[in-house]
Amino acid sequence: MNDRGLGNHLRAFRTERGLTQAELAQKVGVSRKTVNTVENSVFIPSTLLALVLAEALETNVESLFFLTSPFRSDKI
Amino acid sequence: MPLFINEDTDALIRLEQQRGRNAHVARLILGVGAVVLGASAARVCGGGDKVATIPLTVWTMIAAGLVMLVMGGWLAWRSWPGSSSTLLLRLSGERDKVHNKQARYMLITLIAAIGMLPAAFQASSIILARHSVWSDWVMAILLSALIPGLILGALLNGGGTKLDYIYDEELIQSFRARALGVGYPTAMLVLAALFWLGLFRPNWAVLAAPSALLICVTVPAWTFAWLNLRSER
Repeated sequence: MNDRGLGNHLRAFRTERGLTQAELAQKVGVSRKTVNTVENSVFIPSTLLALVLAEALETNVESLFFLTSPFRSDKI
Repeated sequence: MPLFINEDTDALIRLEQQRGRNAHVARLILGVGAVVLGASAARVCGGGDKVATIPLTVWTMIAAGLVMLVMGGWLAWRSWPGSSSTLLLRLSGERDKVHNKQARYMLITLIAAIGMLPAAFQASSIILARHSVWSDWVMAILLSALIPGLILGALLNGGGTKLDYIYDEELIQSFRARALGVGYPTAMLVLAALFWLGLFRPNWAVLAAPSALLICVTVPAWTFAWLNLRSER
């Protein structure tokens, strides 16, 4: 299981809805850096944040996030 | 709609260039100020209870160092993204501003701690040479506690209560966990090395103690700052 990582379509969903990173961050109640690091797969969000992000982008978590392989070791 | 510093507009580019220039000047002034202040403080500590005999030049150096630190601090404040001018407030996101404030606070604290290091070193060496007076002991103990205290304080609560609302953000929590995860084994290794050095070369261990403490506290602080910087990319 440890060789699986977390990918996401956050940037695609965000731009599709015409939101900047800052606007999405404001909507979700986190910093722009958090959105930036999640988008770039540097930071793995908690389940709660993933759900809130999905809600803000009017989609579901499964559409927003997906499992990748192999696991990237430079995650924060 | 808020603008952000990474958006490609002429005004923002000009602003960033100005910040860049300010930052270089600030680093230079802070560096020189810290060295002058540290060296002067070391002379004062070396004077012990003969402070009245300290030459005017040393006091002048201390004053110059303080002025340079204040100027450098002000420039650093102005040059950092999210500083307090009306324009920058408008251009920066509130939460980004808080992140940067925390990192800035930590870096300024580090510079202050580095400025104190020569004083701690001087006090330790005077004690070691058996020429100490009570003020040398006070200085050595105070600085040994103050340097890690300052940096740990910045790490745990950088910038004061205004930042409290963002501490629960999970990105910052992960930064703190990573920073302390690196800092703890580093501290264990450094202190173990200091202990073993003390067994064979006690004098060297006393002299190395302030530097060892500085390493212990700067490693997590720099790790945090590096993570914060990396999250901008």
